[in-house]
Amino acid sequence: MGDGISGLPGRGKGINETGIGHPALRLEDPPLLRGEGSFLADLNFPGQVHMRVVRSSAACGRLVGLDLSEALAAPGVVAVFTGADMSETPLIDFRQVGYDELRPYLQPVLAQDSVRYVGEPLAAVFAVDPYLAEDAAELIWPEIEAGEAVLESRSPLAISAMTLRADYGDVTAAMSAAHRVVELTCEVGRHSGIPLETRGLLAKPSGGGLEIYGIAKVPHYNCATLAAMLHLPAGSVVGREGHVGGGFGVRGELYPEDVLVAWAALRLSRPVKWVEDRWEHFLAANHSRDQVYVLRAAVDEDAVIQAIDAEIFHDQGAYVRTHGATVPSLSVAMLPGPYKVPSYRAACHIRLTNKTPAGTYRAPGRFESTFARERLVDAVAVEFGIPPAEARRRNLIALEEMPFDRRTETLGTRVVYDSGDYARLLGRLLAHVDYEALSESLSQRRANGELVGLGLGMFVEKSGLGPFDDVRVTRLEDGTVEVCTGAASVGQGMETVIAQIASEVLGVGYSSVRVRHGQTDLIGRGLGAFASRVTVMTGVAVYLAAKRLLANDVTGGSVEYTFNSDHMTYPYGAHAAVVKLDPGTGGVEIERYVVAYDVGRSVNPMLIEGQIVGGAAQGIGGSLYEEYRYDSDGGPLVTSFMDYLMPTAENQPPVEVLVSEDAPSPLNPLGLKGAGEGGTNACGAAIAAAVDEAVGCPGAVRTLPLSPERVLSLLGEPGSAVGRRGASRAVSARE
Amino acid sequence: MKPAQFSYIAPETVEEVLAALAEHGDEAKVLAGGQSLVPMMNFRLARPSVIVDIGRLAADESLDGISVDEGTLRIGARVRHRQLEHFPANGLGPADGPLGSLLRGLARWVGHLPIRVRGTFGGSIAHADPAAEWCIMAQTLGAEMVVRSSTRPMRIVAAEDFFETVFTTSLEPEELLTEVRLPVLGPDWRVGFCEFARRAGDFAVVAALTALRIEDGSIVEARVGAGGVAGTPVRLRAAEAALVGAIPTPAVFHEAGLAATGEVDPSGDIHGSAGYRRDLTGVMVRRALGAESIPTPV
Repeated sequence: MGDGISGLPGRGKGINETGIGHPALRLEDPPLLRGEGSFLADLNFPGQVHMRVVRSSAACGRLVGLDLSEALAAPGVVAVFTGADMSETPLIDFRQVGYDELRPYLQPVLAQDSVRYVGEPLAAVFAVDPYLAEDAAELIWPEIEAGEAVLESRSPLAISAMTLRADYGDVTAAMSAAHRVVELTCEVGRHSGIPLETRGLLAKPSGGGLEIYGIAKVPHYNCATLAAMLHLPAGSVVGREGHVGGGFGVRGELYPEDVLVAWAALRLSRPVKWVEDRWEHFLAANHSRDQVYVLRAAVDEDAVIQAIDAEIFHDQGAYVRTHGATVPSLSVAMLPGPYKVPSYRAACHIRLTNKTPAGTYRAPGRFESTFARERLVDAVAVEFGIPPAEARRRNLIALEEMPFDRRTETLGTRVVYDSGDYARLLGRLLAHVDYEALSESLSQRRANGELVGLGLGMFVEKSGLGPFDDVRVTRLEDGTVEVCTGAASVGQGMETVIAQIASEVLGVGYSSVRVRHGQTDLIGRGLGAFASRVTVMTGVAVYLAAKRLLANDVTGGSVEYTFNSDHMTYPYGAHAAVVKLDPGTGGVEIERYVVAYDVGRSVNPMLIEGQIVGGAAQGIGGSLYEEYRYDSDGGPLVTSFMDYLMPTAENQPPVEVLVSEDAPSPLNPLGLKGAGEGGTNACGAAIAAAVDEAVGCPGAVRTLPLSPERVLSLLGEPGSAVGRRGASRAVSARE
Repeated sequence: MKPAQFSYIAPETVEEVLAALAEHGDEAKVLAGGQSLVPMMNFRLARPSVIVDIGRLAADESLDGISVDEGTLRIGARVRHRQLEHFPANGLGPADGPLGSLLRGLARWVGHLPIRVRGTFGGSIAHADPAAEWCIMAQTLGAEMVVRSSTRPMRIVAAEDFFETVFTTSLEPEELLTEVRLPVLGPDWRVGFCEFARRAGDFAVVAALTALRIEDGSIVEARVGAGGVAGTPVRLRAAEAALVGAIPTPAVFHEAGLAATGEVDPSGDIHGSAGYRRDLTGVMVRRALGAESIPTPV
């Protein structure tokens, strides 16, 4: 059905080598490759001071005293501020999915009289260079009466902030009518986004307001919020986005440190700069994932799931931050995925513990819920003795049912799958790997003693979150085009994609299109870059503005346009993983990894492939390597790259990418859907299933990440391939 | 992640280095390749008030050379990992043999390329990470450390007396490790190595090094060592005892692995519990014994 989109505008002209559909090189790259990038740490202003944050070393307790005298007397120190100085500053509010029930748990900029996690900001030192600031910060020894840390979301001691629910159909009736009820408990460990560039901010007083550098992701929102928090006139805080070294949901949210920098710049009347170091990033930037799923499925005699009943425990950490209940909301709303599931009931308990607060990370609520749901579908396959692919086929929503009302809600929208041919995509993936032959060859290898397996994971993604996007497209006298947008670049290639879309309509080369973004004084409002929204929302706004500009046919003309959308678009995908286990070490080698993803329409196939491969690296990291762990007192055990294991080039398998355009979105004139998160979404699901098969113990994997030790313990279980061979408990005897 | 304040001196002769170490005692730290020291200083886990940089010393055969002298291989402390990785196949002449293969093969397991280019052999030994490949080799083969100071005569410390615990050696604050001596292994020796790390380039969770001397088809001498299982690299005597006198077969290697598992008492960390490391020790020993050559990572 690739030709199904031939009727779309722009398709098939074949004259524009930089328009939609071409793997155009990134416009962003030349300055970055030449070392001419301008990242926050590169910027300096005369008279600036550097901030160092004093952080709690206790996970829980009462802050009794902070002796600042030595720090204040230390060389180069300009000021030291504590919670007492900022008691009038409001808590940092939700940016999205806020609920009044969560309001009591918002984080103060500096701790007032209690601390709730190791790394919580207690005080800030301002000095003339970052070395002296760090020296002085060491001289402050907070006096904390330690309390008992709560580290498990299911602990009765964890604060139960609220429960988010979804409910449609009649789950109770379906359970009693079920041919079989399949039950499953599984959990995803705590990990998060690790952008190459750590967080940071530089605030410079300017005309009664502030200029803010280092801002990312949501510049308009952050500047407006800072102005409100600091009692400045609206518009007087101006955001100037520079180059940004990765976002992934983590970087660019409004954090306590950001407010501190802005507040101190006003208080001290001089520029204040803060560059987070990696130790701080591990302790203080948003964590993510860390959910437990308790699932029950009512299944009929044809292995069709008639109902899912889900109880989810979400470890929010110590506070609720800007994302509010975003992750739990997405978990609940998207758990049913690409399957019909006629009845569904979910309760997600948002629990507070004494860990670093949590927020979104690439494919938030989906990496987790896909893992859980696909584990469940695999369990159904085992229960009915059918192949995993067949269990999926029997449950997938059919093409004829599109658009499909999922009957859940999230991010202020009703979840209605706009388009999709899920079975066709699964077929495409299975054909690519030659499923029958591959299964047979793996089965043969297992018979020869190798621990190898194949796993599948399917999912629906979401993208293109509205509700609006404004653009201004101007044709300049020299024939070039300027696009001004309130979207942001976190390194994803949005300048290129937006320029390609403008190029497609206006017939100029894409390098003649200048895309200006992240500058809050250039355009009145903007929503930034998150939720795989930019290509869809900004892209369509630019497309329609350019069409209007073309119709006006004015040289030097300018068109402002707002694209509104109340619904998200829903790309979908399927992953396949082939793994080989080492029976002696429990090590997992990914022999093959395939991602099939339908994006509706591909603006730049090269960038989509890059998004998918990079996303898969992060999904593989969360499935096998990355995990934040704590000791029993709430002390973080992971504070450097020696302990937080990012997959390296040597661990990353080549990812085979199948991008399809079967199902363009009917919700926008270009048929676009976003491509940012599909590479990450089903990694846990596919790898877990592959390890299951390799272990020879269906349903064995219940927990991510799959550390070698965890895998080895699965191999030690009596039902495993190794166990069945009757090998002794001693590892040495395996092989 | 900015280091605490320190002063920096870069002497031009070994004598000046020794004088500086004598003057500053345990306030001073020697900087060679800086691949462990500098990150530790940035984390403020190491806070020397004086850095004595030996990188500016003029080239010096005893510090920079690799040579063979009457059955002993001498490796200067300042030799970089990369030099060993690329040491010519017959670089030690007739003495090259199994030891040459071991040096070239092990070097490849040290960190990543940039680390191997900067980091030094002596720096790794003096840093004494119990999972470091060179430390495991020194302990297993019975290396001797040549140590100099301005206050007493040069002394030679056996590996077993050198490594005390994690990051701790018997070097006195005023002493400088200048050279490491290893016994040349004749053609009747067979060496093996196996390491498991979570990712290529990471410190080993557990690694094992084995060396067997085989006469008339039987093992007449065995050296088995492991890292990652104690505060220092350890010799595994029970595993060695299981090998000496036996004919090298998979069954014998299996027994030696079981003996190794039985004799280590590791502690756990986030990369592996005590029990996991214990089990892994047997696997690593068995695989090292069975290895046809020194494997390359990934």
